[in-house]
Amino acid sequence: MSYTSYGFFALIVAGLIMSRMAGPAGKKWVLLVMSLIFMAAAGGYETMVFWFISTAAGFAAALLLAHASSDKNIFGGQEASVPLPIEGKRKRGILFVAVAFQLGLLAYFKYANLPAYTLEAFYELTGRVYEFEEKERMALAGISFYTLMVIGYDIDVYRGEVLTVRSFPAFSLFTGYFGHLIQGPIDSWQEAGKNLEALSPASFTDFQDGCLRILSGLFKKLVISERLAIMVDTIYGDYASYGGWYLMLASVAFTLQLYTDFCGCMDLVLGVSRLFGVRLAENFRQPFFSESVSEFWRRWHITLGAFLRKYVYIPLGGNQKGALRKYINTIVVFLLSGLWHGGKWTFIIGTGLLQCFYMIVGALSEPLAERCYRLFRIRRTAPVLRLLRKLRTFVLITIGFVLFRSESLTMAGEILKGMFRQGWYPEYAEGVFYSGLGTGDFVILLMGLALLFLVSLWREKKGEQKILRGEGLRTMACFAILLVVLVFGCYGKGYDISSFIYSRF
Amino acid sequence: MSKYRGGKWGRYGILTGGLAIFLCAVYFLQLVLVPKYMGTVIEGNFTGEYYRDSTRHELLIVGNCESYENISPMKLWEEYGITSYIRGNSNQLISQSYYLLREALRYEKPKVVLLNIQAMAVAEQSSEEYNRMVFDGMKWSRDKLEGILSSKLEEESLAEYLFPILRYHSRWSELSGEDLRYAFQEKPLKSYNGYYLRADIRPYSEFPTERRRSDYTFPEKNMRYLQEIETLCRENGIELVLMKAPSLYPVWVEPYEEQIIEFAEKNGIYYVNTLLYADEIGLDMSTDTYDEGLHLNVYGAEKLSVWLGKELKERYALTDFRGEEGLAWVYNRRLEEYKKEKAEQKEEFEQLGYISKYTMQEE
Repeated sequence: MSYTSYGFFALIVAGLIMSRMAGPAGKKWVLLVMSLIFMAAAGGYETMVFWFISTAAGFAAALLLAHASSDKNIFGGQEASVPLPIEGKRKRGILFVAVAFQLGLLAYFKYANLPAYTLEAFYELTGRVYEFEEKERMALAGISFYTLMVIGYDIDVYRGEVLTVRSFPAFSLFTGYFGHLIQGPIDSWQEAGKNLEALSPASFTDFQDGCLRILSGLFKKLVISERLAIMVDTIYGDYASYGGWYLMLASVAFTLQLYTDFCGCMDLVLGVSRLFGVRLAENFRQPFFSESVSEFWRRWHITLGAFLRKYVYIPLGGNQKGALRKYINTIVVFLLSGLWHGGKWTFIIGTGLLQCFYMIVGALSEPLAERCYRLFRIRRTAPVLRLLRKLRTFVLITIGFVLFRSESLTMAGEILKGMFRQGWYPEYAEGVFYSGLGTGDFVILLMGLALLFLVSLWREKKGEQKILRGEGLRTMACFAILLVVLVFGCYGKGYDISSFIYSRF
Repeated sequence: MSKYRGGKWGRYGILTGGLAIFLCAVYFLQLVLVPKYMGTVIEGNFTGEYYRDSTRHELLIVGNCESYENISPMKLWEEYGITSYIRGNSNQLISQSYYLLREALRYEKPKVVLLNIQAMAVAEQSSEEYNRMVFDGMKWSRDKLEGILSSKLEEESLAEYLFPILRYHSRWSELSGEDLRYAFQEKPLKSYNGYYLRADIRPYSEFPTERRRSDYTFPEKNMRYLQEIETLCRENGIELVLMKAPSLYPVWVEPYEEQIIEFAEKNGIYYVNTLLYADEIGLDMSTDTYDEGLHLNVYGAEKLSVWLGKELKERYALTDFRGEEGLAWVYNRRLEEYKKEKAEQKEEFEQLGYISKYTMQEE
């Protein structure tokens, strides 16, 4: 079962009816049962078993941390008014074991092939081929998300930032909630956990906003992302036969595909959660309006960035211990970010090391840039300069995503090199720009992207202010978008709809 | 709850109005988007055309392509005054024949049901398109629902049958004038009481050798549905006839024959394997087939119909309705159209060597 399957929507409708019947007290049980059904359907019993082990371990660790604390009044799931003092070695030991256990789980299922991938990358760099047999591991849905949430919770309990949850079902709902499972967000107990524990009834506005958000997600995924996927798969699937700007086009298309896919999924889960009166953390804030790479990563996959900042970057000293330590800390954070995406070096470099390289170079060259601005009397905030900076950021990020999309470093290198040769394409290629996309689909794609740009521009300028304010207008907009998605969405027979890209991580 | 200027009733009014407009839009779009089967593939019309026939039939023929391409109800009428209709589709499974028959019995009670049994050897549907051609034209009922559930492929979804727009939405980029015209206008009949008329000739040639199988036992599901058909006919006082049409391919092997004979004897049903009577029928596979022996053309189908009609008329005392004015008017009018179409196809085939409307044109 995926978020775009008929089964998922049937589950949501059934859940809404059941939660209405169950009342406020029974709603969280309905959500828990729904989440377990979704987990079983999406990942099978193996997913359920390992999710349970991870959740139970995290829950038990928090209880042990609470008992190890001198202040026993730490139950209740409430935020402590005064952070409790960090206890001694025993608490540190418990936390160490708890975090190591969760990381161990993650490493076992995600990084079994990391040594082999490392050797493969090394061989590639030296122009040789390293052949190896990949170790098969079960694909456990959501393991990258719930393990981090459990780690975050245990650390917060250790630090005394939250009080220990006494209800295992409440904690299970927090880690296993169906809205977290496939692509996150990586929520904290302070935000989502408490929200899931004390569910407020959904108002008509919640319902309407939820529906609009779901439809916005479906529009991004089914109308835009799936069409971009056709272009990307056609060109990248035969990258040696394409050259010049066709490869550039495919690379830009992939950056947009990744965004509309991931952001579309987030819209969908945030919207569905809203129907139940649950508010989850936002994961995107118009990332392509960023003027620098560091700003981009504050607007893209926000919850992963926030997790790494809170639990890695700041404990390492953040930017408080001099420039060198700041750069080292940045490298550590982005190395982990790249690793989190997978054990392949295309991920580690594409979304990790290359990104911090950009940032460090950016930071080091900043005084020089400042001097140039002053020398040539250029206003730093001039609209043209801002636009150029946004374009530069987009290009840099796109280069990183070329690695992210490539199956090997060699492939990424070939694609990047290929961009600068003559623009050629295979004779058998079809569609607009030989990308496999028909004219009609291409027009729909352009219109979809234009609409997405306008909405993003509005959000950038007006924040959370609603585009359509009238309730009636919003209702009609829901039906209109639904109709557009129904007809122009790439789903069902005739389309080979891919699962959400981030569900692999 | 948020405040709304129009009040509670205004809110629900907009919701209801919006929903109504949306449903109307979906309905009309669906009408446009569903395939009309007016090109080279016309079989998708056959299930739906049954409802447009206002007459009752003494003989109902069910089965796959071996039924709707090998027997001509128009010839049965012309020769014997037998009123008949074929409820057949491409690759129609035995289970689908059962549900189409069960549905038909809600509209009429024929004297004889003739089931072509070639599909007994078919374990499951080979492609979604065949299922669609069977069910898209069928009216919604318990029969349709159970029929879909009994034969839908794993990749098919019931939701896509309930709301065809979910299945056919991607056709927006390939819509033709016919899609728009026949969305709101009745389509011309494509079959002659379920018969698919083909007047072209492509003589029998050798078929590829079929792979030998270790087990030729009919799938248990097919046997179960065959028994259901027998029970349904018995309970309704209908004579069931089993028939193997004279199509030469797929090969009807001896173990199949034995199983059908055993079933027929056990249930006291008349079974006729027309392959054994090809000479008596007068079939000549150098002129009587349009696809090298897979199916008969109109010349072969008429020969089989003349032979079969005599057999059924004698055995079951089927009525000659040619003297009934109202019925004769309906049938004779359709017969005229049938003859006209046959003559046109014959002339075109003689001139071009093919029938253009059934031939994919290269661009």
